[in-house]
Amino acid sequence: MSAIRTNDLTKQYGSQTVVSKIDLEVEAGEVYGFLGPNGAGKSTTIAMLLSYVHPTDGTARVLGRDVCEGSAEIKHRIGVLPERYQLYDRLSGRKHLRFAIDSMGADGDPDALADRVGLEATAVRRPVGEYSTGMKQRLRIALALVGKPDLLVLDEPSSGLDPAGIRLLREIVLEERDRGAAVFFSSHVLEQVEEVSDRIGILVDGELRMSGDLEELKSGTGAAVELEVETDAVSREVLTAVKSVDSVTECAVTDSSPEAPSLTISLSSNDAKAEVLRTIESHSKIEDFSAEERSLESVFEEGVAEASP
Amino acid sequence: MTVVDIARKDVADAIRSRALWVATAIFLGFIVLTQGIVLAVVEDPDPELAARFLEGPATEVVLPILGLLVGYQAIVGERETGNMKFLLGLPHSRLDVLLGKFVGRTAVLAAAVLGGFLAAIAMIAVTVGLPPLIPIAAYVLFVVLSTAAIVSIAVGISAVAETRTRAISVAIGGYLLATVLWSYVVDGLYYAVNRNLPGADPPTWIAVVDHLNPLTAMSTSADVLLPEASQIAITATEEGVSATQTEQTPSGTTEALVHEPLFLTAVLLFWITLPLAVGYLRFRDADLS
Repeated sequence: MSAIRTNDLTKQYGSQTVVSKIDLEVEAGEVYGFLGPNGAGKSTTIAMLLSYVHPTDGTARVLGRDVCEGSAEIKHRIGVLPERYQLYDRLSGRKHLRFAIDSMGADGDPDALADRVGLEATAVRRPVGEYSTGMKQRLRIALALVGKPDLLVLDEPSSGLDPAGIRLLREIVLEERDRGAAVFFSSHVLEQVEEVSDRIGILVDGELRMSGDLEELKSGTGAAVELEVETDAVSREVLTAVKSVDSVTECAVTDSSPEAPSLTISLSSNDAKAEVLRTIESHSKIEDFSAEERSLESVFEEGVAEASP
Repeated sequence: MTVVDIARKDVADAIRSRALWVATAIFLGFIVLTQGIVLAVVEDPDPELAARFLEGPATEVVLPILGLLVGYQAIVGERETGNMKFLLGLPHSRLDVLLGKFVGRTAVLAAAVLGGFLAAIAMIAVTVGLPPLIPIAAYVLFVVLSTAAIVSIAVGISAVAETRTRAISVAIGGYLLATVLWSYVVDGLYYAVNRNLPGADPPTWIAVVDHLNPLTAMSTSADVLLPEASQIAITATEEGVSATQTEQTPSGTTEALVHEPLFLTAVLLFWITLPLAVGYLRFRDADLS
């Protein structure tokens, strides 16, 4: 059973599409890094997984259960760190942990959890209003660990942490994975994702531009591809057919002159290249084509550039 | 029981933030002040008369305001700060959160109300003698029920509203409708049907409409349950104002449907249920971003 599985997951606010037809799969016991520039739709995707936000279209299953049904029961088995939520300033760190432990029906020790994220025994008894940004984030991480969850969903867990905190976070993520938990975390920093992830996905403008095994992506075998295809004629049918191929993220007519119309097609995986070419051929004649493989860095940096014009 | 977890946490928050103490102090202050004036101004007051003044500004004006203040932020406040994501990240459903907040805040305000009544009753007992306790207990029960209805309305508003500002605006609007504007609404409706204004003894249907207002229902419960007060004659002389009790009692339509405790209970239960139900349906479908 997958820890997370989404199918065409989509969120629109009015006419604006924030998340577009995302297919994600996170297996039990793996660390999945969800990478993308700020504003790409990462938090909205996570909000849908945690049923804070209702999908416009598509489905999401977390630990085998549809997020739209019985979301409260799933939460017994998930540790959650949502996007920058406020803590209760008047409550101590210990009271937060106690409340979470009671709510989860878990038998945990608040002090042991605090110790694990490096919160000192004196600090954990003080009201959270007196905490620094980094201490608050450490407490949020500890709260996500309550009850030994089967899945951790962490939205930008490194935000507000100092370098020592980030190192500690990495250790915790790996410890949790070794315990058998799946970890799904988002970040806008490529290095942080590269360091701990087994698999990653890159989200740009609400679309999953690239996803797969980190080693494969780095070595280029599973890399994204940009296809340039020159044909004799471009019809609407060709475009629709190509767009319906699974790993196609984008398909556009780049040169529509009648002599040599050409298509630019972005693929999230190299494997789909042949299928795309076959699809085009069934509609029109291919005059010429070229394929360019793109590295993790190039896709990510392109995305960042696109997001901040 | 996750509703209990949320409610308990809410009560603990109210104690820590001193909201409980402030609410108690305000309600107690008003009810004790009213009692003090009655006991000081009326010549030879008896315990029955003093008990009649357990209903007054504290229940009619202060309690609805406190209820709205205690409740209007319950859901929308936690949505705006993002605390809601913490609560819902734990195994609490949205229904649990809504009900937990309602129970917690009703408990806080009910504690303030009970504190105020106990103080006022003690005051009567010490100065003029023990008032009739059973009718008073029944009345206090009605006030607690009304407290729950007012908190339910406030929590319902806070579950529907998208921002705190909008929640407080709707709450103020509702308060004005229920306190200042309601008689015009009722008279207007009567006029629309009969082309004249209701007299001293209005027909049952218009009295029922009038009592759909939970504050009217609460105030009528005082008329029905508390000992009937003798009329008070107030005389202003050069030495000041004095008031004396006369023997004559006012006549009322005690037989009417709206004077049935069961009817009044039904109205208040309706106002406990409806706002929570509407609030839940809207909150259930809301996106928390």
